[in-house]
Amino acid sequence: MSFALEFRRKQQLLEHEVQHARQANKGFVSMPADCGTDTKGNRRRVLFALVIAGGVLAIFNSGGLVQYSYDFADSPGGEKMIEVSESWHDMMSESRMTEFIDHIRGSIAMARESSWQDLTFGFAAVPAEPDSSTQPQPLIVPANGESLPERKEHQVPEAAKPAGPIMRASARPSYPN
Amino acid sequence: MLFPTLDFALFFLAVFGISWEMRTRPEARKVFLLAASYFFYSYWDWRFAALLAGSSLINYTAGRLIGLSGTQRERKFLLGIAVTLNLAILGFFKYYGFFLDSLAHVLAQAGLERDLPFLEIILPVGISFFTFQGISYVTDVYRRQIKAVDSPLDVFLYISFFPQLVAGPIVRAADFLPQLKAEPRLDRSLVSLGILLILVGLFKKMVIANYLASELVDQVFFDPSAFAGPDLALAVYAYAVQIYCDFSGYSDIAIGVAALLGYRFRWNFNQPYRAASLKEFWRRWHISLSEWLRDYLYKPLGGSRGGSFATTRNLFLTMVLGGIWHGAAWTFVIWGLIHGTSLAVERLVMSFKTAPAPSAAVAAGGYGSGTIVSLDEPEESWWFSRTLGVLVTFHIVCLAWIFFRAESLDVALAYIKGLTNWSAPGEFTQPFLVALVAASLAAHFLPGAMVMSAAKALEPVGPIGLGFLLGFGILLIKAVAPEGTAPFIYFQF
Repeated sequence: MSFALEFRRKQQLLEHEVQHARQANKGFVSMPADCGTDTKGNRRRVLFALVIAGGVLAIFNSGGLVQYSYDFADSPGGEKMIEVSESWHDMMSESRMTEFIDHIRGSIAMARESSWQDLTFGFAAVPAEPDSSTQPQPLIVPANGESLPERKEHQVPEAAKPAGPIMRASARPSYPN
Repeated sequence: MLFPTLDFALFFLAVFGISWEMRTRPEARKVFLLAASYFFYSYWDWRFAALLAGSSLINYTAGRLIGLSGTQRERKFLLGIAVTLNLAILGFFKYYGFFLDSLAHVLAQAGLERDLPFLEIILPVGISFFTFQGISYVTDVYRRQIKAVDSPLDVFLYISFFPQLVAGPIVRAADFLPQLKAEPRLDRSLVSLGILLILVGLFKKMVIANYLASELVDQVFFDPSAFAGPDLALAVYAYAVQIYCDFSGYSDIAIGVAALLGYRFRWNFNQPYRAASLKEFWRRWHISLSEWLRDYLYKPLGGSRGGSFATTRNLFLTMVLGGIWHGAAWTFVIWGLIHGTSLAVERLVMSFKTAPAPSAAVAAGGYGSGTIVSLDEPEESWWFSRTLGVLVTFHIVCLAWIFFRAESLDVALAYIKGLTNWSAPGEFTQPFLVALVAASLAAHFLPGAMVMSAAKALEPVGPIGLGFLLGFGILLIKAVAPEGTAPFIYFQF
């Protein structure tokens, strides 16, 4: 019986300590690391992960390396750096490693350009019965027999286009009205 | 250097590797981190490093002197000097030009033109943040909440620590100084949380905030009179998302980077757009700033100790001054006025609610519901109240954002006028942008513990898994994000 009571007492103390620690650390992103933490092991883990991440980026985003090297064009060794990064980029392109990022960029560009009509046509499209004797008919025929209007690209009025940097600069003082 | 750049990645790789190598020599580690922080800050402009050092020296010296002072009067005097010096530095860089412009205008109106000493002043990056941290330190020493630190190294590092130096979070001395004294440790929870927060922060900033800024917000706010109601409405919602993702993204990266260096910060944002009242909003938005304003402005003004009128006045003044802190422009003053007025009205409305029944329980406050809810209240009624509160709060915040974002008062008023014109269709209300805004707002209603749960799930993952997660995560972000690296919005404050 004393063992059970002792076990129960320790459990309650532990719950109380956890509660107290949570309260003391309220608002923090994590609890403090305890004494047995393997800092050395975790440090190696992160360094290894950072190196692997760098390798992934160097392989699949070799174009970004070329862009970065252009910043050093005027520095000593800058020309060599550009040459090496461009050669690396050519190798990655030939190995089709850059296609992944190009494909995603293409998909995003398509999504950005799509309109509500594109989505509507996409949902409303009914597969036609295969009939080799007839020409394919449009899904929607204007009543007056004219051809469908071209999809209007959204156009920003010239006056609305900011002439300078697009991010807002520091606030300028204005006189009270 | 900006967080989402290769320069910073290389810098952090070096700092991480070297600082952990020095973990058994804590003083040397602190010296290295201090040098790294000054290098980080000098990357923008080396001249400002001297300003940072000067500010740190003022606060360290004031803290020491206050700690050594015997009388309360002497302590108060020293605190006054330190706060005045801090605010003088901040005031000079932020408001000197505005003050002279206003003075020149007044003198011109009175026919007394003079050659005033106009200067081309460049606002140092992060000056507000490190000034506030300095004031926080000396005030906490004065209040005896912390002891004055003997080592200048600790104070200098506390004020200049690079993850939070330029745009927060505003870290309290009581939270950070003990961590500097303790042995630095890196456990799996800090590793997984750090990596996850960096990825989440990069996504918020580079994808969401940058798309909304470049494709919608900047164009519409540049000339709101050229657009109709649908575009203006979408743009203000988009700006609400943009500023949240920009700012919280930076905070996430800062907290993640600090975690990888073994330091724990507090959360700075907590899904603010799910707030059902302004009071709740300010407990979720820029938490470190709102707590700073509460502890170092609202409470010294009297807080809630002087009755209803005094409390409301203090609340109102705090928000207006908080608005002015953002910059020397009437738009920021009006932004503060909107929040101050709304908080005051909200407080008044809540005070008229009837006393609770014996079976009452406390629930989150909001418009349409009191802060006290009876256990007998139907659940549908509570949901309706909360939903109404969220919608009303969000739209009041958006109204204030119009003034916050607009370049001038005229632009803000033109924007509001334009919102009443729904005669023309929207040009920007295309699926991509609408979906981006809607999804980003909807994400505020996901479970708050999702990030922590995901971090917990990553703890057992080995270095190869973490490396691929980080590498492909950044790759996807770069693939999806628009070209270029825009600065963080809060750098200008």
